Amino acid sequence: MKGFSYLVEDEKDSKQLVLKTSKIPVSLIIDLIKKDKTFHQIKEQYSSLTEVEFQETLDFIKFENERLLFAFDSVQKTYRNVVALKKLTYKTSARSIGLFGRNGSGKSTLIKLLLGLIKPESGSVTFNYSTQDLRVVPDFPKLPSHYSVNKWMETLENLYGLPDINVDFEGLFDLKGDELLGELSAGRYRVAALLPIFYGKPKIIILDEPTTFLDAVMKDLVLTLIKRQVEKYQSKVIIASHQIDEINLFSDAVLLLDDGLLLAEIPMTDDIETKYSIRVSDTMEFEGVLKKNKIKYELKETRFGFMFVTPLNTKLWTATRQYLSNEKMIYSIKKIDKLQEKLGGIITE
Amino acid sequence: MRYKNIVLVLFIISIITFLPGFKPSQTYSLVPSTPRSIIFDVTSPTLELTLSQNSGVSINLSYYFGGNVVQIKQNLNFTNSLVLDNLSPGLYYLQILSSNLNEITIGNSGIYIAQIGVFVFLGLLNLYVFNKELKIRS
Amino acid sequence: MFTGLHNYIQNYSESDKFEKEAVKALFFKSYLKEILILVPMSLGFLFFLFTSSDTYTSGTSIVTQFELMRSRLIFSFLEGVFVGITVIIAMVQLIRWISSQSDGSFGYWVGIGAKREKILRHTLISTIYFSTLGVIIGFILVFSIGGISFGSIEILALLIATVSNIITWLLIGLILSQFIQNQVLTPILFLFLAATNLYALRPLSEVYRYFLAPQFNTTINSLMVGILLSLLLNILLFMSTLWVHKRSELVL
Repeated sequence: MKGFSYLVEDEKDSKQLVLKTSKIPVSLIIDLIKKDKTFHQIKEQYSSLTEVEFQETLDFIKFENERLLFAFDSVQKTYRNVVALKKLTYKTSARSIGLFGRNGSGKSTLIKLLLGLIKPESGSVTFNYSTQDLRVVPDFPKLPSHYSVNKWMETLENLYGLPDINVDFEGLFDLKGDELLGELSAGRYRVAALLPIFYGKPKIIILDEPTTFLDAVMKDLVLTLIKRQVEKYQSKVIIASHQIDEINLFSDAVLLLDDGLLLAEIPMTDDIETKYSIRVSDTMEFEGVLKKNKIKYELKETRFGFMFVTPLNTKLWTATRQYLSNEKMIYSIKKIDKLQEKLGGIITE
Repeated sequence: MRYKNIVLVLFIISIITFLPGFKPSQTYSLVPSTPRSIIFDVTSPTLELTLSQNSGVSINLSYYFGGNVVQIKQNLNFTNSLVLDNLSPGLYYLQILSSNLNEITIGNSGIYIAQIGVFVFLGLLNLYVFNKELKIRS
Repeated sequence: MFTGLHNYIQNYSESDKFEKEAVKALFFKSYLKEILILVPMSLGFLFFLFTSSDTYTSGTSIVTQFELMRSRLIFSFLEGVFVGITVIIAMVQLIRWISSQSDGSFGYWVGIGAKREKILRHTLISTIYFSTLGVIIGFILVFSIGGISFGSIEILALLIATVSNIITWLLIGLILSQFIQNQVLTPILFLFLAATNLYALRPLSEVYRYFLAPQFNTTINSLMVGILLSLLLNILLFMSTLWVHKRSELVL
């Protein structure tokens, strides 16, 4: 069983609660953080642990969960008469936050304020993390273009320590050691910018559009590796993206920004049943079939006509078969994302 | 700065030290019927004094060192030109005793043996370091 | 005791790790260190070599004539050094400083955690270090091949004066780059300033005079005033550079 030793290393930081025992498995911590199971289920599964050890773990998790991620106190920011953030007040101790919004909605401004690159006109920003624990991948990272890939890796090793994942980055990401960073293609340059995440032990990762320019295969690979790193070190993540799947992958909560205003905060931790959106040729007929099969449904009007939203149910397939046998058509059946479901009308279709 | 670059910089400096060898000679016009003296800086071992006319001239040559003036040549007579070898670098004081001279050209040329020695040593060191680097790469 | 020393060395190499890497990546690329050592030094040496002598007819004492010539040679060497340094600051450092702030590479390093005032400090220290190294090598050349002899206190005073002057010009360049962020205009303005003020702004000219031209009868009091003034000027310039720099907004 792999120990929980990596959290013990940060004894310098007096604020950090340190776990002394190495018996506690990583999976327990992850279970507790994710709250995938009930408390009793978890306790039964790890019955080999003593009461003290279990309590210690719980205290640790409580401390980590309540530790402030960042806080904005009525922060206002204007760029040449354009208000980027309007009196934003928000405080969170979530493990990970997704920032979602249209172009120019204030996502990048929020990240710049966090990093202290720009100063707010009024209000205050709280974000305390040591440089060693922080990894930042901005939307347009400006890496030293005269560095070769090898030199860049050496620099990262010097800054953060050895990469923990035993992976040959050059082979995996198609990077050649003596190629200059400035001569890489957009996708491979992006991968080079993402490399810092894999070095050392990141505690907080800030990502701004991390997978732009990446092809589907590379995107999948990179996201998987980042996810693995995040889970291994229980890193906190702040991610700004247009892509729902990325936000879904990392976020406990999503901040919806528009025109510098915080529209909503959407928690993502509690489970939501998977739903389907269905569009059909004959709405009346399909509604009748659904009623006959006693399936719960919602009927929504969208730009493209009426749309049924139903939970996943075996009866649903029976109903669709009955409906199709009358020579009617189903235009589309789509699984609705957790986030899509929560955002509701904003990004439907 | 890396070791390789430090050696290279020193080598380039040793090349710069050869510059005085290519210094053009300077011509001084002299006002007639006055005591005339010239102070000039010697940066190469060989000094050549050339007169403008075909007549004999008498000079005093002094060397300035640490606040003291040391006379090295007294009442030296020559016609046309005079070549002095193995001069150490420094400030020299040339006093022209004859009053009929209009122009004198002072040429300073040559390279000290120590300079060549330093140049060769640094050149070899450079080659050695360069070869070592090549071997490490391959 | 050795453990203490070892810890100190380790702490030193560990401290400001991010800032040192940032300075390396942002400013000291494409052999700038080597250029900073070689160019001002060789320009100074060339100026020194091609200083013409004069003929003297007056009855001035020989020693005074020697001293005048010596100070003239050293002045021309320092002139060459200043021309080299101001041109490098204007053409390389200023353009690099401005472009790294506007294209986001400075912002990238500050974003990943490097402190911007420490980056500024390390850039200044490295530039001063390498240009001073060049000046020292230049002095050695002037003393050995040029055959100009000096006492050790004179050399020290000249070196302090020169370094102080380099710092002044470096800081003027940095302040200028904070106010006018244009990759073409700023270096030209800086060069114009340098060319017109090379003599007027030479802050430790009293020191040069004291040691190189004793016939001007510079007193020890005016020497101290010169040193204090240049120190004050540099501190003032440094504080205002930091002040302006901290307030500037960065692109990421």
